[in-house]
Parts: sequence; C-alpha cells; structure tokens
Amino acid sequence: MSRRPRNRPPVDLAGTTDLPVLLPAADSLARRAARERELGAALPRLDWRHGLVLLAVLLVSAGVAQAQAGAGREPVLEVLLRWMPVLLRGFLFNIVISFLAMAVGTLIGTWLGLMQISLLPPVRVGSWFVTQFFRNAPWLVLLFYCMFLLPFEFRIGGLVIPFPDWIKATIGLSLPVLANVSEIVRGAVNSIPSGQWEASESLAFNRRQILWMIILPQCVKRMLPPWMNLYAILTMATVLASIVGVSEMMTQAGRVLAAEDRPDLLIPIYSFVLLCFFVYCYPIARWTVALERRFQVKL
Amino acid sequence: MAWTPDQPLVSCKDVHKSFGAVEVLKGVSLDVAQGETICIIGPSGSGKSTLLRCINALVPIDRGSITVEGQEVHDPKLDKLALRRKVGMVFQQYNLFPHKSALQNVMMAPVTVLKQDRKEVEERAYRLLKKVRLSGKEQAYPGELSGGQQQRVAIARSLAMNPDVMLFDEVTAALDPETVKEVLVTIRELAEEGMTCLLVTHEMGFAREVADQIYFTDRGVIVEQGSPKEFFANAKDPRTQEFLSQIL
Amino acid sequence: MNKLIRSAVLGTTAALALALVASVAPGTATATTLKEVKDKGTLVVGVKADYKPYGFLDSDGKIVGIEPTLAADVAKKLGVKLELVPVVSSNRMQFLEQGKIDLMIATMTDTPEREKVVEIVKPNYYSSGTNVMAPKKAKFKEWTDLKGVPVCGIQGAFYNRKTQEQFGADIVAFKGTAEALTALKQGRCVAFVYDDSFLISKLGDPEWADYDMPLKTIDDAPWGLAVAKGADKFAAFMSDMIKDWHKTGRILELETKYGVKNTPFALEMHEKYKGS
Repeated sequence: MSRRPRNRPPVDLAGTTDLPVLLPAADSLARRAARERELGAALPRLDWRHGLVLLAVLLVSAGVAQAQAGAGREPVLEVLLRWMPVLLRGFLFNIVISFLAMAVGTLIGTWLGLMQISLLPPVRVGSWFVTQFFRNAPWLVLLFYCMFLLPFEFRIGGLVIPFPDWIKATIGLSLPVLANVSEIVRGAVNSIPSGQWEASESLAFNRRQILWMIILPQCVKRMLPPWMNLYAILTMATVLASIVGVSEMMTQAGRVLAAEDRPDLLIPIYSFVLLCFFVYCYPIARWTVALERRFQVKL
Repeated sequence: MAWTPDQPLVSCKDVHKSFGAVEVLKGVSLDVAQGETICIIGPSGSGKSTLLRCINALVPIDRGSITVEGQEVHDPKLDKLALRRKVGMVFQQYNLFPHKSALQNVMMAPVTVLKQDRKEVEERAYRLLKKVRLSGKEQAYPGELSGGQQQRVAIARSLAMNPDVMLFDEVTAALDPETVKEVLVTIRELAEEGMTCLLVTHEMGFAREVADQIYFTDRGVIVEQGSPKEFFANAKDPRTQEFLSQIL
Repeated sequence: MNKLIRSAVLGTTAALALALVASVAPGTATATTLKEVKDKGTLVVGVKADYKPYGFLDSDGKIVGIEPTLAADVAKKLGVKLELVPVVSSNRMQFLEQGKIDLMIATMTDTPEREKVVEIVKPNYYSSGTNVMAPKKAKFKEWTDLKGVPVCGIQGAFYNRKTQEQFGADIVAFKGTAEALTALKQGRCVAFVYDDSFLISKLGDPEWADYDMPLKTIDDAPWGLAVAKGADKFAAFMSDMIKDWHKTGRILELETKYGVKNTPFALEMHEKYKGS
C-alpha cells in the first residue's frame, strides 16, 4: 500500500476527461495536415471569406424574395433596414447574456476546478460530480430548469429584487459554462509538469502558494484558447433563450416575421441573424487559433 | 534530544519504500556528516532518486527512519515546510518556473516563504547568480537560457534558501555534454566551501574527484560503500565490479 | 491550503443554500388585487408579440395590436401606466400565477382545465374557430380527409392535438405563421391548420389565389382573458370592462382597424350587450 504523499497533486482522478488544453490542439492540427496530405487538397478553414459568402446569401435571398414577392410590395432590404434596430437590440441582449454568463461561469468554475484538485476526497468527489453533472446535461434542459425553478423576484425583508427572465437565462447558461471552465482549469493544472510541484514543494512553498503563484499563472496561457472557444459556443447558445421567451435576437426575428407576415422574408431575416453572429464570433475564433499557434511554438 | 554537529546531518536507517507492488527501497541505511559530500551511484531504477525525495519528504516512506539534524522526517507532526527550508534540492529537469525571470526564480521562495526583506533577498540573488557565473542573465526567462544555465539558476534558487544540505538528483543527466562541465564546476565549488551535498550521479570522474564517500546501490539496497579511492580501485561486490566495468 | 479549501467549501455551500432558498420561496404567489395595481401605479399585462394582428411588434420594437390596445383601455380606465410583457403559450399562465403579470390578454382559448389554474373572466372577449388552408387542387371536403396527411400547425396551438387525435392528421408544428406558410408553399404539408379569421385575411391576398379554406369551421372556441385566482374584485372589474367593450362595439372597431373581417362572435356579443 503506498500512501499518497500529502502535499503532492493528485495524479489519478476518476473520469479523466482531458480537455483540449494545449497539446490536443497541436494534435488536431497534425491530424488535419495528415488528412490534407491524404486528400491532396487543403481542407476548408474558417475564413473571412465565409462571411462574404453569408453576406452574399443574404443579398441573393433578399433578391429572390423580392422577385417572389412581386411588385407593389416593400423591397426586402428596406423591410430589413426598418427592422434592423429591433433585431440589433435583440442581438445586444445576446451579447449581454453571453458576457454575464461567462463572467459568472468563469468565477464559479475556477473555484470548482480548483476543488477538483483538492486533497480532501469529499471536496474532490463533490466538485467532480457537480462538474460532470452540468457538463453532461443538455444546455436547453438546464435553461428550462432555471427558468421554471427560479422565482421572478426575491424578497429579502421589505426589499423586492426583481429577477427578470433574461437573468434567469443567464444563470441557466452559466451552469454549463462553469462546468466546462471547471474542466478547463482542472485539465490545465494537471497539464503542468509534476516537476513544477516538486520543485516548489522542495522550496518550502505551501500548497496554496504553489497553486496561486506557480501553477495557475502558467495555466492562464493554456486555458485561454479553450476558454475563448467556450465563449464563442456560449454566444451561439444564447439563442436558446428564445425558447424560454427572452427577447433576444432569435425571438425578435420570430416576432418580426409574425409582424410582417411575409414568408419571403424568412430566409433574408434568418440570414441576417446568422451574419450578425458570424461577424461577432468569427474574430474570436481567429484570435483563438492565433493564440493556440503562438503558445504551441513557445512551449 | 538536541542535535549537535558531530552527529550525522542526514541519517537514513533501514528505509523501505514501495510503489504499489514494486519495492524500490529495501532497507537502505546511510549517514551524511556535516560538510561531507556523498555520491550515490548505481544502475537506473535502483531507487537513488526515490531516496533523495524521501529525505525532504516529497515521498513518504513505508518503514525505517530518516532524520535531518536529529529530527524524524516522517514524523506526522513534523513541519514539512520547516524541514524543506533546511534541505535544498536540484532536479534533473531543472524545473525552473517558466513564467519568472532568473532573478525572480531565485528570489521567490525567500521572499514569500521566509518573508525576508525583498531588498536584501535581491542583493543575495544577484550575488548567487554571480557565484554560478550567470551575471547579466538576471532578467532572462528560463526559455531563453541553455540547459546548463537553467540548471545553475536552479542551484542558485536552492541556495537562496540557505539550506544546510543540498540534494542533487542527476543534475547533469539532461544536459548537453558541453554544458555538463559548467554545472559540475559549480557543485564542486559548493562542496569545497563546505556545503553538505548528497548527489545522485552518473558522472564517475566527478564522483571520484569530489566525493568523500561513494555509495553503490542496486535494486533497492546499498551494495557497497567506501572512499572514492578504495571504491574505484578495488570494488569487492561482483555487482559493483560489473557496473564499473560497463561505465568506465 | 486549508484556507483555500475552507473558502471553496464555504462558497459552494452558500451557492447551494441560495439555490435552496430560491426553490422554496418562489416569489409571492398571491393574486394581485385591484388596489395593489392602483398603488403601484402600473398595470402589467401579458400579451402575445408574435400573433398578428392580436399582438405583434412594430418596427420601433413596441408591441401593438388588438389585445395591446384592449390592455391600454384597461390601464386608462384604472388611471395607471401600462406595461406590456410579451408572453408565449407555454409561460403565460405561469406568469399570472407567479404575479409577474397582473392581467393576461394573450389569445388564450378558454378551457375548463385552464379555468382551474387562472381566473378566466366572463363573458369571453373574443372567439375564433379553427379551419385549414389548403391548395384548391387538394379537394378536401371533410375534416376526416386529413387522415394521414401532413398538416402544418403552430407550436403550442391548442387545436393541433384535436386535428391529430380526432382526425388523424400528421401535425408538423412551426414556430410562427411565416415558417408554416413557407412550408405550405414548399409542399412540406398539404394544409395549414389555424384560426379561421387569420386564414380568411390571408386568402384575400392574390399570392394565395390557388388556395382555399375548404372545410367547415369547427371549435368555435371562446378566448379568455385572465387574472390570477382569488383576485375577485379585479375579475369583477374586468368583467364590466369586457361587457363595455361589447356594448360599445370596441372589439368590432379594432378588428376593422387591424384588417380582420368582423367575426360572428364579436357581432353577436355586440348585439347582445348594446341594449344594456
């Protein structure tokens, strides 16, 4: 029987789900290169040109819609322009929700991730369970859960704190985010070579100092790409809030369609929604890839 | 029971350690007197590195006793952090903190662990880096230094804690041959200055030159020990003879 | 080290405790009384925002339509400000129960099950029947002709179930009318089941010249506006309000304003109350 040394990082955790902290990125790039060699052609990469394609789809669909609608009706682009403020206000909502959910999720998720590497088995197992639970639950289900479980206002004494739907949606979306952040943190901490722990222990740092001064600062770089990736996914997932009645862009798009009552607007309006998300998420994706490349070379 | 310098600084008695089913140390006993330089040699996997890690409590032992300055290392009540302030360790893979400069690497532990005055620590760090011949490299990050330079920063980092004994775990094994020498020179100077050193090494020439005592381990036991002269000249155990014939 | 764990444990405990408090104290599930509405100076009404012409967005993002106008009438009569909250079929009754809205005027069909949950005010303020819109060449004659046929519907509409269970149609549900009509045009379904008043107005459009409404309108179902259970005074107030709408022909006037042919129900109710 070998006892686990008290001050060492736990090495074997139940359910090791290795997140793509860093090396898997190199891995996937290598795999991609291999496939490209095999095919003898370059695989499509996310590109600003895709945005142009989207824009073209929007314009063409608007044109087609116009042709279908026939003369005498308001041109599709004019309709779109008229509704633009309503739609963009909805999109702003998506962004606000994504920001807040990410902030809350990151804050709590970091703690949860650190609890996953705690030396106390109950803390470790408990946080592992919470992480796995929220990580493997469908986002929409969590959203519904928060929507219908949380009250619409809190009463603390005589103080009434309203709790609007979009805040509930934010909380609902922050649950999967915190679970994923927890895994990112755990994965990053475990990816730091054990020599770093040994060296700092031999210098008489205590565990907390090691974690905060030596291990975590090294993790930040490794965590940034998957964290940004998660943010992009979250942003796109904010449209789920439309199903629970939050007035975000997708909801507004549906209402615009209902108000206009013109089936020919269907494609142009949804194309516009798509374009907005692309324009917002694409730079994030590019930046993530750039960061991944840079860190890969440096380490 | 107060410890006095005439007693062994580090004393291992019948140390046993297993990792799962593999017994790595099968009753190792060894004493290091103050100011002495001890080299442990032996084939890979003979438990040398594990023994070093047991001495500063990075790895717990199953049976036996290890004392440092008279204090039982594996006493559950022992303040491990206090022990580690007395025992410095240098690793094969240097293990410098990559996000800190050479100077910060050296300064970090005295400032945060010993809570010493930053200004004073900084002066000492400059002095130590000068001692390991790295003046001018204070602001360099580990990624910008060669293996040999990194290892010397690691030695300075350990010395900054003013340890009573230094453990060196195959510190030249990962280095390019041309940089091995600069690290060995540093260690020899330390030994000559009277630092108590315990080295696990494959550098036979170096061991012969600096060691006061040489221990040969194989499969978890100490097979043979002696002064460099008698050890290299007339090893008695056939295992030692075989090992030496392969190496030399 | 210990501090780290302690604070982590504390944080989690606090979060869990909060979640627990939240789940056992779901706001205030009491009915809003008339007095409370007057005291807070705002009437919060749940209306549809995706159901033209009863409740829909204008391009300023404001909710307009027949029902929002009725809501404005109520607020005006009470002398309070109006706040409109967009609702959907799946959350409108819950909002009322929670007290998140004071009043719901949201195209809700009056059914006995719903009357158990919320206070549906009598008399009914509106009514609509169900019919289908289909290509003329489909030649439907009876509702039973829909058996085994894909029929487009709107998610959450109450007549979907009947069309499916009683007449055996395969309902394909969509988010909104635009999506459903597109599907009908593309031939993904051969009929669209919806409110007859909407379908009549649609069929006036030359774009749909090849389509008709071949079946007999069924389920002429009354719509109910509702307040929370127990808000009796408020319900009585709303009852008078509805009678007044029927008496003055307000509903008929709004139908005309929003381009809906006057429905038989609205005409009949006007006849009934105009003398009172």
